[in-house]
Amino acid sequence: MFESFFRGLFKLFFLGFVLLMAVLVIAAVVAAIVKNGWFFFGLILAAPFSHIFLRKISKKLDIELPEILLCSVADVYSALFEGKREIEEFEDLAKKNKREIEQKIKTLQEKVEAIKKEYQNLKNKRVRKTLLSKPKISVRMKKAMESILANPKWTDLLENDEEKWGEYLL
Amino acid sequence: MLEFLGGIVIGLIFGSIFLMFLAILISWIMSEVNARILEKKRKEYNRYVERKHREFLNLKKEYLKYKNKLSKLISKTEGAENV
Repeated sequence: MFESFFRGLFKLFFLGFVLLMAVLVIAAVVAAIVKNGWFFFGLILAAPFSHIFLRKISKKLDIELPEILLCSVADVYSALFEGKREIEEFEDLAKKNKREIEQKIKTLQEKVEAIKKEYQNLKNKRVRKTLLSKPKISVRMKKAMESILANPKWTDLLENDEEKWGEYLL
Repeated sequence: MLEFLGGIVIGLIFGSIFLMFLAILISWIMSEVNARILEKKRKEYNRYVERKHREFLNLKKEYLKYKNKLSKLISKTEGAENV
């Protein structure tokens, strides 16, 4: 308990310190911009055209500058989407799996309801009496046995589910 | 005016490097943020799968219970019928 309390306190202090530092840095930058307003205005205005200028210069002087130095605003913009694709891929896969899982649960629920109903029906003494009174096993009984007890699709679903559920975890 | 021109010259020469650092910083921050989001989503999803798996197991247990009961009932009925 104490450990988690101190950990929380440390986290709070650390976050406060980082926040304070960030505020100080931003204040320093703002002060520098205010003090040298025109200089920074020119700098910000020219920076987006820097890569064009550097390309031209390197062509004229026949020097090859590394691509990383020729950074444009588009590169800065594309940096905003770093790691977004992984999230989208994950979400697509999760959505597909969720749909499959929901379908599986729904099928099982239906089967449970069906077997429950079947059992309750056959448990009913009157129904059993009627069935027993007939010379041969009834069509209904045969149907119940075939559809519920010996359905290979259903048996597969029950037996192979453990492996499948492991695959769903991401 | 001189300050403004100085800013433009320095911006033209070093602006690209400044943008490069900015891009690196932004991409680092975004990858960190998105990695956390992905981890959170993954945990949430795995919890969902585990919850559904438990639900599935409970349903399976119930199904097997009724299947056994039904089998017993059918065999009992069949036995009685044969007699």
